[in-house]
Amino acid sequence: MLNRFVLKYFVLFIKIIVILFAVYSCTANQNNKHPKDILMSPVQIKPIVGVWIKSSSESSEHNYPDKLFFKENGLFQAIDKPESTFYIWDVGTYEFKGKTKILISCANDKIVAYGIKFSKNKQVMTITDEQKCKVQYHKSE
Amino acid sequence: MCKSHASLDGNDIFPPLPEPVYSADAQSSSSEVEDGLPRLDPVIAAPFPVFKSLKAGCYLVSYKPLVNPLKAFDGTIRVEGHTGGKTASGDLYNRPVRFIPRPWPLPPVIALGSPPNPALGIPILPRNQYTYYIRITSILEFSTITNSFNLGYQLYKYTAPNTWALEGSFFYSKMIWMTAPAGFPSPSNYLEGDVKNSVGNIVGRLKMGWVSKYLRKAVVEIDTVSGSEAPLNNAAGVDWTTVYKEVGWDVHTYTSSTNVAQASGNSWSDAEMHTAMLAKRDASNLDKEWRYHILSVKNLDSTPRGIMYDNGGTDSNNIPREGIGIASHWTIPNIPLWGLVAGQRSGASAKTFFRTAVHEIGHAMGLFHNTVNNGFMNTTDVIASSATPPVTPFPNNIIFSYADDDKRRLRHYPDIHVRPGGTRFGDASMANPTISPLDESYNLDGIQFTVTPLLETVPLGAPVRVNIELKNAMGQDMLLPANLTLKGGNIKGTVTGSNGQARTFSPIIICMDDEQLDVLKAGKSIISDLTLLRGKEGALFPNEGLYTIQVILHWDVDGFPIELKSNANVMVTPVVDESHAKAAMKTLSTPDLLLTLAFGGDHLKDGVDALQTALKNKTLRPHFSYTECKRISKPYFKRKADLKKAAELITSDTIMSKTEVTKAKLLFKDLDADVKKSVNSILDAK
Repeated sequence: MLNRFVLKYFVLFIKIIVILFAVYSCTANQNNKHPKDILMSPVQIKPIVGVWIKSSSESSEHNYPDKLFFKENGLFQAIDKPESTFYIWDVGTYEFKGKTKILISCANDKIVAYGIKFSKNKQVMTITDEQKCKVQYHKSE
Repeated sequence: MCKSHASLDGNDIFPPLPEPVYSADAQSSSSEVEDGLPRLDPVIAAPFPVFKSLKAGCYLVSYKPLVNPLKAFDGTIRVEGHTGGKTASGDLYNRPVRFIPRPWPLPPVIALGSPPNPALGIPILPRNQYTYYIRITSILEFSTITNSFNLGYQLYKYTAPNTWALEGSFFYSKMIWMTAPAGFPSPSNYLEGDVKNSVGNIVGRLKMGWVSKYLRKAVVEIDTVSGSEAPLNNAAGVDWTTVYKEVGWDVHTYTSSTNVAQASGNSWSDAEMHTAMLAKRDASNLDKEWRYHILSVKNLDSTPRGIMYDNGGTDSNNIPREGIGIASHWTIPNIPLWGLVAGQRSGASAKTFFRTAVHEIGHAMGLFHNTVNNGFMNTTDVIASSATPPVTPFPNNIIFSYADDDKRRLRHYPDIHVRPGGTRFGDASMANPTISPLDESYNLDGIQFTVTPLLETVPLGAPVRVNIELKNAMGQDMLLPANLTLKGGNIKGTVTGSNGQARTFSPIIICMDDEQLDVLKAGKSIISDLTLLRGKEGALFPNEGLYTIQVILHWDVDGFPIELKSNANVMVTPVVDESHAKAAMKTLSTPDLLLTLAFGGDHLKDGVDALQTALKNKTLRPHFSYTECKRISKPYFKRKADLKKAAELITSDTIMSKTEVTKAKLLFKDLDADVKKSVNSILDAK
């Protein structure tokens, strides 16, 4: 009886150790990787894939593109860009960091973290910069 | 004072410019003028017409407005020579006045400062004196038999930080060749002209003298932390000098400190790099030289490979675009996307490391990302994702050149957009101000250049043959390029796939004398052909699909570059079976095959091996049979020529151009009569 009890808790203990080790391994791997190393992970990118059209922006000085195309492979590109216009996001990479953060590479190659929020029907997304300025896009049909 | 000369406000400040003088008598009377001011002596034209052209390069310019004797501007005009003629632009900086003190109580004398010394080449002028962008709208495109030409331009006045206003509508000057004052390196390339506004009033005088074959000059200083590489070249023959020579910049790059102290932590923040640049660079006067700074560190906080950090909040000294940072110890992810460099340390891959440095310096020169091709200003991720392994894996698909539109920006953007410490990153654009227009391409009437594909559909892995014809329909004999093959120096071109990616091909041999011109009689043609397989960027036809081949015939007549272009389309069809796939893989991925195609021989084992593989495949065999025929019909050291075996390779299926048929007949002239008759009948049917 005692042996069975000890064995049961020993197995449970081992399971906990294994789970903790697995969690640690995943976290450690993520921490050691540069954001771009984990690019193109299929997780979480689906809602953003497609063409987005700017609806509004509280921060006109940042030159956010009017039309953005997020590709499935972790790349994005501003489209229909007028020749004389500078966009802070012209072409580069994107990567989700959790459900509410996105890393976007900017025109000078800096990777910047933004807040991101999708509407319930995933047709509207709002991106918030470090200064809390918001830019809203709706998905192109 | 010259009464007939137009003036503003009654102030005649300039002597009139003389009309071009064509006779010795006229020359003798040109040394004096009635108002006693020094006379401007034009270069005396010869008694018979002599073609004159505007030499490409940088001209030191001065503009002296008529209205204010204490106002003058100095700067440069950049003249780019290309096949369509000339494109030019310029910049003017205010010339400061100086106060010359006199003994009290006399007031100081105010006088104009000295102009730049032409002997020092391209002038570097102070940023705070930047005043005008010269948008040149008309210029001498090719040549003239007179001693002058009309220069048309607009002046855009600059106000910091980035406002541009068109001054007047347009100006024009009749620029006259004169003998250069002392100090100019090329006495015969000096011109002056009165500046007239849109209603024809003289408003000033423009002087321009050639000072350099380059358009702009800059210095790139590289500092590294201990253990980080300096990005000096791509380990394949491309370095800073070659990259910037192509865009007309004289860039001097050197490595200075190699033991910059590590920043706090494992990687560098943008602010830390900016601080290190300010502390470590060898010079900092951007009004004396255009100096860009590269800091090579192990890792970066804000991005994996490289960054032009010097803008916005990071730019603590408010002098933008002075420096960039690159990371040498980023581990390239070990996934197929990164091709041949997967898993490597970034600094250990010279191609990607050098590319990143040039890319970031491009940002420091005001350029943005550009996906028009895989050139420097595309992003590394986009280039990697567009690779086509195994034929052209990353980084072999990198184009070590700026895209054409970026070259134009680097040549013709206003100084203040490209020089370090000028406008902010993001301010540069082709429209603010509108930069100088490109010229129409030069049409050489009466010379017909046509390119037609031998076959409109070609299987994947086969070479593409195109026929070329150059016809003289001018009605008189002409001196034209005699060699229309890739073994000469006058043919180059591009192959553009349906995805828009362009690949280039150029002569196989670098010709020391590429001007092999010969007289082509009126009404006659030169017919030739090209066999296209590989170019600088690898296989020219790496995938199935539609390709546009543009062949460019170029030569030079007395310094005038002339180009004729013609296009042809071919469809590359997909592989038909596994055997074809394997053979195509071999032919597309063997660089030596091109040389075997061109020169034959047995020495290039890989090339010969790929050729044999292609010959064993029934789809590719007809396309390579003539190549093998050529190869074995010539002896190679101990191997004797085997004409009989060569003749057996020629069948009704063998793909051959007309030129190849002619050459084949010559090859077989010594064959036994019956074999020769048989093979000639096949050749005649082609």
